[in-house]
Amino acid sequence: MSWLHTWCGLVCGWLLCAIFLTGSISVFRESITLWMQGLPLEGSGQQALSPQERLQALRLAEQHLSKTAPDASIWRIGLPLHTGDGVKVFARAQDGDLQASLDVQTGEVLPEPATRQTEGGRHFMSFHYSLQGGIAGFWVVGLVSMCMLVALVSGVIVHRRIFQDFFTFRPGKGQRSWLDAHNASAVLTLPFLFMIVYTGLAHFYTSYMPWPLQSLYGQDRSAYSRYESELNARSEANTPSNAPAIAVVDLVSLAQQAQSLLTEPVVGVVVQRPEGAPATIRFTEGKPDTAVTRRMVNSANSVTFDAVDGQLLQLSANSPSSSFASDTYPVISALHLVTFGGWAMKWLYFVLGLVGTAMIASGSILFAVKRRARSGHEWGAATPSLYRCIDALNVAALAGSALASIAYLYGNRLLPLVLEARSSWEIRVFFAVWVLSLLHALLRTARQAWREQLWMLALLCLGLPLLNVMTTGQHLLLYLAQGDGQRAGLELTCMALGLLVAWGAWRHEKSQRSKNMAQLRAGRGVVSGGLT
Amino acid sequence: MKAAAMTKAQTRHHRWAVLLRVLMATLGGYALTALTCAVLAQVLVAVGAMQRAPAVLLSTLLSFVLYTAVALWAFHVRSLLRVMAWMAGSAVLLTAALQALKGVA
Repeated sequence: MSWLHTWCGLVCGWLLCAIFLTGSISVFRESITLWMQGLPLEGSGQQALSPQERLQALRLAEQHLSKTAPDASIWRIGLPLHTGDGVKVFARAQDGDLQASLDVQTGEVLPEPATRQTEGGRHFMSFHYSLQGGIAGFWVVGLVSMCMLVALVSGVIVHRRIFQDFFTFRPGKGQRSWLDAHNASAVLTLPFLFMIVYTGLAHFYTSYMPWPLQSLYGQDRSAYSRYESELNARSEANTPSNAPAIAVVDLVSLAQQAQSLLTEPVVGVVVQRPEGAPATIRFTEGKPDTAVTRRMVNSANSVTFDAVDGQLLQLSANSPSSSFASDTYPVISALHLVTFGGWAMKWLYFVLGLVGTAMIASGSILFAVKRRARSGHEWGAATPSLYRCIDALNVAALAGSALASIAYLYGNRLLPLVLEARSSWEIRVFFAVWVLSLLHALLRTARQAWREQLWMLALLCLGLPLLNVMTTGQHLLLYLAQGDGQRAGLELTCMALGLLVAWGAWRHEKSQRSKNMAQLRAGRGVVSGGLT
Repeated sequence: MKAAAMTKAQTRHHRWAVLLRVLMATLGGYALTALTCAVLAQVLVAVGAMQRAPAVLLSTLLSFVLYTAVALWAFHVRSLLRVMAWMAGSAVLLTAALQALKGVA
């Protein structure tokens, strides 16, 4: 078990470190996207639109669409919630897509806002579940997630005294300290780690383990959709068939009827006219504030009408009558994607995710420190050079993936605005910096690599607000003054993490210096490069 | 630590054994888990404990727990030959069971 824990942890630890870090970051992916798009500040004093103003906006959108795309197979309308936002209209016609933003009062087409073309925070999420590597990356993430489960269980067995050891911390004692840090961070986050790894695998359950599904539903393409509709089959009581039909189908009066059935304000309207099937109109409500709802599953509900006679076709709602089985998967997904509990829960996930990252990294560092004190001769004559590779990979896994993440934000601000496939160049910056970090760690000694990369990371984190001022003219105080908590929060969090990393780098140097002094005093004078 | 005392032939043998065990735990473990969960889903339906869809849901969600257990077991058992024998034996039995259940359904 000890052998399994050591090697499984080491080999998967490097990738897991990056996956955990990007996963923690992607908790805030929407705020990151907001920051990266770099929209001009709107000016304070945004007010909520009244229901009448929003219905007027819907009327204008309908007029615009029936004028410009009367034969489109799909219309999509996004209703604004605040003054200053436009009505978003989209139509899919035979001669291509149409997309515009309209003024709420006049219905005139608004000019496109100057945003930076970016993948935004979604990049961290895509990397988190597929390493940006498509199907192959998806399976690699699945494999290392399974290894993480194995390492967690074997870890609890190996560190038998793990729960007692939780209360032991001996800082500044080299190998003992790393072991204590590894134990303490693991115990602190153990329930979270089991939950997050399991729900991560279970979120893609029929993709990773399709065999039970295939054995009962067959292997054709529609097997999954048949399974899903059987699982979510609701009692027909939800669909009142004798609802009063509206004689003349009018989008605005349907919207009023839909609003009376939903709790949140309607934000999305979709008109579908598929060939050979009846046309439908669907109204979707906005996402509820998950801090207020006190529910685990917070899906946005919708109402669907027949577009010809206005008959109510379907009402999806958080009904208490839904079965236990059909609630299971939404709860698992909500647990993994933190779509509950509001900002407080997101912060809890972020901090626990970072502590989990530290736990994985401290395990790999513990291995390196232990072997530096006493070699295990695992690979015969090649052992010292392979230890060097392990040292370098440790640096690249923790400091390198963090450097790549912050460099991604720098790339967003520094790459030219007009660039072919700009968003892919930002992602290339991420990977390039990661590779550079590994090369740097291979060329320098472990001690130098840690010191230089940690200081670099601290510098980049602390310098982010400065970069933003220089490239967009926006800054922290401006965000705070405008009440833009998300963008201000990103810069404040980066600075706080920068200070934390700087403290770590300073501690690292101090311990090195005192160790070297002690060795000199002991008359040995041998300076061993190492991270203890 | 043990490796230092090994002869070259022993080292080579040791490396093959490690590789084989890793393959047994990952690929063999996955195959065994997939078979077991497919059979479990079929059994749950056959004995009338569940509808088709919840049976798939339950057995698929249990698969990740089972896979972890199988992988740990593959490393825990001392003799590699025993791991292989158990895996092959249960795979044959489960495949037969799966075919029989599919015939019933």
